[in-house]
This record gives sequence, C-alpha cells and structure tokens, in this order.
Amino acid sequence: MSATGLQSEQVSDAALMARVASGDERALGELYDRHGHTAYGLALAITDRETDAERVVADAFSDVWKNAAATTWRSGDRSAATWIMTVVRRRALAMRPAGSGARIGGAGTVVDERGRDRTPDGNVSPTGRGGGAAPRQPSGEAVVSVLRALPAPQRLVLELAYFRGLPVREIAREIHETEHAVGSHLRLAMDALRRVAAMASSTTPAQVARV
Amino acid sequence: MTHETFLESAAAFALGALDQRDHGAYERHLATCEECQRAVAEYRNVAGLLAYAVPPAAPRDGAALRQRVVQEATAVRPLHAAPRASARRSTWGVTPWLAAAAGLTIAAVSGAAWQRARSDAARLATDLDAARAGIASRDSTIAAFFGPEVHVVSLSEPEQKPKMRVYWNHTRNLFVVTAFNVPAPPAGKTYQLWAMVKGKPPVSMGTFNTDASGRATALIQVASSVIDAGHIDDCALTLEPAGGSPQPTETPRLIGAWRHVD
Repeated sequence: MSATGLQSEQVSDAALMARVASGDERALGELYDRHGHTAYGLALAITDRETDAERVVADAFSDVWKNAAATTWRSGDRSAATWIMTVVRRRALAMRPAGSGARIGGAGTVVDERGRDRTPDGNVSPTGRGGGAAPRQPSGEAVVSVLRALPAPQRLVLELAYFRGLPVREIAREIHETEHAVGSHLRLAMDALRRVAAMASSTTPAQVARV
Repeated sequence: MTHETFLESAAAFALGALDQRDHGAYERHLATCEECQRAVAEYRNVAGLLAYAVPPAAPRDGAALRQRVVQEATAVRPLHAAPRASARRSTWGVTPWLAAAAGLTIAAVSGAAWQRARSDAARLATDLDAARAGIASRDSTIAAFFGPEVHVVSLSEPEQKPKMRVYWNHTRNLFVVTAFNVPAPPAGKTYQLWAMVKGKPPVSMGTFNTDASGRATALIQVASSVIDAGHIDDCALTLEPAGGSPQPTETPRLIGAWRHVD
C-alpha cells in the first residue's frame, strides 16, 4: 500500500527508476509514494524504533537516488521494488548493533487471528507485527502464508538471517545448532519462498506493468 | 569449496549470511560461474520479497518524512549533473578504452572541504556519465570508507610504505582515492589507476591528480568495465598524458593487492 495511494499507475517502476537515474526529483517522490510504507514497515521491523526507521528510509532513498543508474541494480535482474527493499534492509541492519533490533519470536511462535505472531511469553515476531497497519499486498499475503507453513526451525533461521542480519555462524551459536544444519534450514526456507518469488516477480506490489 | 558447495550456499550469500572470508570466496567464484549467478539472482529476488512479509507502516508524520526524504536525497546531486540520455551499456562500442572512459566520473577534492566539493567538482568533473556519486556529504563520504562491503588497497613501491590507498565501496559503487605522498604530476600529465586481473589487460579505474603537497582525495564512480572485469587481484598506478590512456604506457609506479576492510 503506498503512502498516498497510487497516483500514476500508468508508469512502471522501471520507467520511474529511469527518470530517477536521469535526475528527476519528482520521480523520486513518486517512488517514495509507491514504496515508502513498505520501506518504513521493513525498517521498523528491523530497527524496532520509529526514529531509526525514519532515518533508514531517508538514507535508503538517498542511496536509490545516487545509484539508480549504477549497474549494481539492473532492471533485467530484479524489480525496482526488490532492489529498493534490499537497500532499505542494508541501511536498517547497519543502524543496529549486530544481532540486536528485530524482536524474533522463539521457536514456539504462534499466529493469532489478527496476524500478530506471539510467542507464549508475548514476544512479537517481525512477520505479522503491527496490527492496525495497512493490509498487506497480495504477494505479501502469499509470502506470509508460506512463512507460517515453514517448520519452526526454518522460519526462525530465516528471520534471524533476514531481520537481524546474523550470519550462519552466529545463528548456529544462538540456537545451538551446527552451522551445517543452519545452512540447510536457510536454504530450505528460501527454496520454499522461491515459488512465491517467481510468481510475484512479474507483478510486484504497487507496480503496474504498463509503460 | 566445490561448485556444489557454492551452489548450496547461494541462499546464504544472497542474504549476506556468509562471514567475510566465505563471502569473498563466493564473490570470486561467482565471477566465473553462471549457474551460481542465476541461483544468487533468484535468491536475491526472494530476499527482496521478504520485505513484504511485514506489514507496511505509516510513519508518524508522513508528509514531513516524504519531504525530508526527497530533500535529503536530492541535496547530494551535483549542481551540473547532465546525465546521458542513453543507457550506459549502449554507448560502448568496440573500443574498450572509450568504453572505460565513458563510464568514469571524476571529482577531485582538496583537503577536507566537503562543503566546497560541489563547486570544485563543477570545475573538475568531466562531461562523461553523470557525476552523481562524486559529491557526497561529509558523513556519507566518511561512511564510504567503512562497512561490510568495502575493499581497500594500499599502493606502494615494492617493500616500501604505502603512498596512497583506494577504498572500493560496493554499496555505493564508488572508489575513494586517498593519496598522501604522491608527487604532483607535471603539466600535461595525470595519474591513472588500473584494475589488474591475472591474464587480462589492465582495466582503467580512473584518473586523478595530487596537489603540491602530494595529497589528494578523489571520488570515482565505479565503471561497469571494472565490475565486469570480475575478480581483481591488484591495483596499479601509472603516470599518463592528461585525460588518461587506454592502456598503461609505463610500468606501474605503485602497486598493491586488494583486501577486505575489517
């Protein structure tokens, strides 16, 4: 869901990115309108602090502005939205001391009806946090349903890697498993999501494939 | 590590979940392995999708944040930026040195006067591809020296102390060149940096000049030709005619090997 609602559905994200790359400030504003809430939601999930999340979003869109033309992002390889969220995640992880930040539910994560994941002791999982926020985009629902269907160890490892930015070695130490097992959990979890990604890559949220 | 092992680690690599050494080894493997490149690209898409696993959220003051985002971002754009209309790749013809030159953006700044950087860059930058990454605020330039995705090379004469360093910030796609003891070039000449890959011709990274005190700090946008060179072993410095040369015209004056910043 965008910040102010989609205002220019006729223009694809890729076309917007091209305009951003050529120095069009208004195009950057439009990108923010489309992806700002997703970016802020992600930043908040990782940093767990509103002021930090705001800083992250500002810095991330600065990176987008500076690198829109760089080959580190190629429109053929992935969507603009995917790249923007990669930038947001990178900035958000850099904001936190390694390993802290996102509150991860324990292996006994339980999903309640409002989509808020709670462990028995009341911790909130990043996936499913924030009741009262805007409803997720369709592909977001698909991602969440796959995550909820994952065996608990796979989901936990994935969340630790993605939302806390922990490397395999640290995850292994944290959950008392071998690095090999953690690598395996991570790979299986990501593989389960690959199918969703393949379906979603043609129509990412807030992107209309008309130029 | 065998190719199979690399393939199994593609997801972890895409998430940045490998430690520094394994990550570096993986990057080198990627340079020559298409199967792993495809796997990593797919997993990167998956990783991007995870951003949608959490609900979108509205900041407390949405209008204020929007304004701040656009203002802060666009504040670092150089005043004179005149980007090419065509895509970078399409301007590259057969001549490799033209291709390398077309990808370069050069801004040389003296001392630490980052606030003057914009007017300096307007004087010094070429009219090649947009100098958008060349002018950064003080904070973001300092940040370009550090981080998990920065490599550094210290260049020296053999067995001597370093006379300059180049930081390669992969996140920002920037080279940050710091020279502290490199004599100013004579008139009509310039220093040129080369990415050295074993068994291949050197790839130009860009040119810069030092001042009378032997110092310079320059920001150079990383050209696609450098990225496409794959794994780079060394960095070399030569003195060339002003404007740079397609290939080095002398043996390197300074050389060093790239390593990861810790």
